[in-house]
Amino acid sequence: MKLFKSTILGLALLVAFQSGAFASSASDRGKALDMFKKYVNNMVQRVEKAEDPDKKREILNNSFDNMISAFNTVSNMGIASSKDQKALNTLKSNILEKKHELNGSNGFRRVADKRLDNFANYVQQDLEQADTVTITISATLLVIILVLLLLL
Amino acid sequence: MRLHFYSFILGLLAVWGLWGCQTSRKLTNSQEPAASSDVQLNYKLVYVIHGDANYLYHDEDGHSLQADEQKVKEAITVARQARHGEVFIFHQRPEKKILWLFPQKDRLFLHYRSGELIHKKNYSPESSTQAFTAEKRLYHQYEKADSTRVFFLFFGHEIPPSNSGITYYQSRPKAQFDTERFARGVQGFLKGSNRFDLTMLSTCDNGTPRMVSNLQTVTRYLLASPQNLHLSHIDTQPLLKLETSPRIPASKLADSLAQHTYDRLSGFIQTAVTLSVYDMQIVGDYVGRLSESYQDYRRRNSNLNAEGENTDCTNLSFWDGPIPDKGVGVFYKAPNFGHSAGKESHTGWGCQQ
Repeated sequence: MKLFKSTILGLALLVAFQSGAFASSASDRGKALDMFKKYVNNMVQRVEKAEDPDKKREILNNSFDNMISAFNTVSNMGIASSKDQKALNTLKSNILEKKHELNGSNGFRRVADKRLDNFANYVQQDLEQADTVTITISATLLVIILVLLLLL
Repeated sequence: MRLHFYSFILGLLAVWGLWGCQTSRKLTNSQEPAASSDVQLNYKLVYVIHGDANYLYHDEDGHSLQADEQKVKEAITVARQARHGEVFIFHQRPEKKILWLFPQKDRLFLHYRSGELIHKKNYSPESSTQAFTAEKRLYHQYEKADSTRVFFLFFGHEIPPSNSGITYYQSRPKAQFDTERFARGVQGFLKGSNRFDLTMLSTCDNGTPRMVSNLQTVTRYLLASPQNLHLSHIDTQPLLKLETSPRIPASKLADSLAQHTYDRLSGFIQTAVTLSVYDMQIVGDYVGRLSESYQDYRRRNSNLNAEGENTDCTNLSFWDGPIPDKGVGVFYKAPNFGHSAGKESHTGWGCQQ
């Protein structure tokens, strides 16, 4: 099973590299960004639909873990330029901070059960407003991050 | 022979079809409306809406929206109601090329006078080093001289500081755009020593000492955000107060825009809402020194980068004493989450951390 997953991941990354190599135009980059924002929107919709606070928390935690894992994988590939690496680090610490706040670690007060929907919206609004994702990360990295997010 | 003939006809049709596509994108209507000639024009609104980057966002119900296109629709709604005004709308859409070589005219220009659309044109940018060259040419070509109050409204991502290396126009990576070029660019819309009554920036992080200092000679009032603000956020409907109160002071209009936007955003935005109205005459007494002092601080702290987000300038130790706030009207709501949740006040000045 593990071998199967690794093979699929390897193939997906190969496809991502191929797409990334051609994803240099502004419209390709735009499409990749749209998909990243839709991934986050999907997380918000699932949180709002879930009725049980534990389920909402689980969706948020899993999504944060997937994003952090994708950023780590891309960072460790050694293909990110220094500019990309800076943007990846900023994004990663942003998501880590949200995870700490959700769970009440690292000096944060735990987000109350009744505020979880608002918290999900906060995460989305913060990502959609900030220029870090929208301006700085290259198309190639975005495509790889997306493939990883869809697989995880 | 017959086959060759049909191929020739088909070829002609294809060329004609392509030509047809091109011409349909050009000027569609340049007639002056008869009714407008009798109406006194009291003001001009210049909308520049940046669309050459990713502007997808989601509303409270999770619907996907393109912020720049939404803003063009809103500008058109205002323009149609501006019976005593002239409205210029420039939508800076991404540039595409035919056969990867020839630039198409992808940007859109709409010109309304007395509520009626009188010019609609597609155009291309004309310079990679200067801002708004094509927009200024179109503006001066079609403006009517008898309205004296001019309002400049810009919507987009953060206008970066100079030498940041940030690509602002995604389809034109070599085009340069920064706070200095922006200030020089907007100056070109004015004649002589005139100033805009109000300049409004619906962008992130541009309520900074540097931007305010750069716009000193350009505008009487500036409405901008020292921290995050989405392109879609500032609502320009309150500008229509110019219809019922043509002599409304620019300060009141700026406050009205800020208050209206603040009230609307506070209802659903979970992040911070920070809007500042700068009275350029009053802040002019100190903004140059504030900007210089912050630039020195940046030079001493090389770890600060041009892509960092803003914080309240008071959080950085570059100014001896409290950050001056005379002449700055602040509309601030702390974020509901994060480190700044519960922060009670804001100086109205943003500095990159």
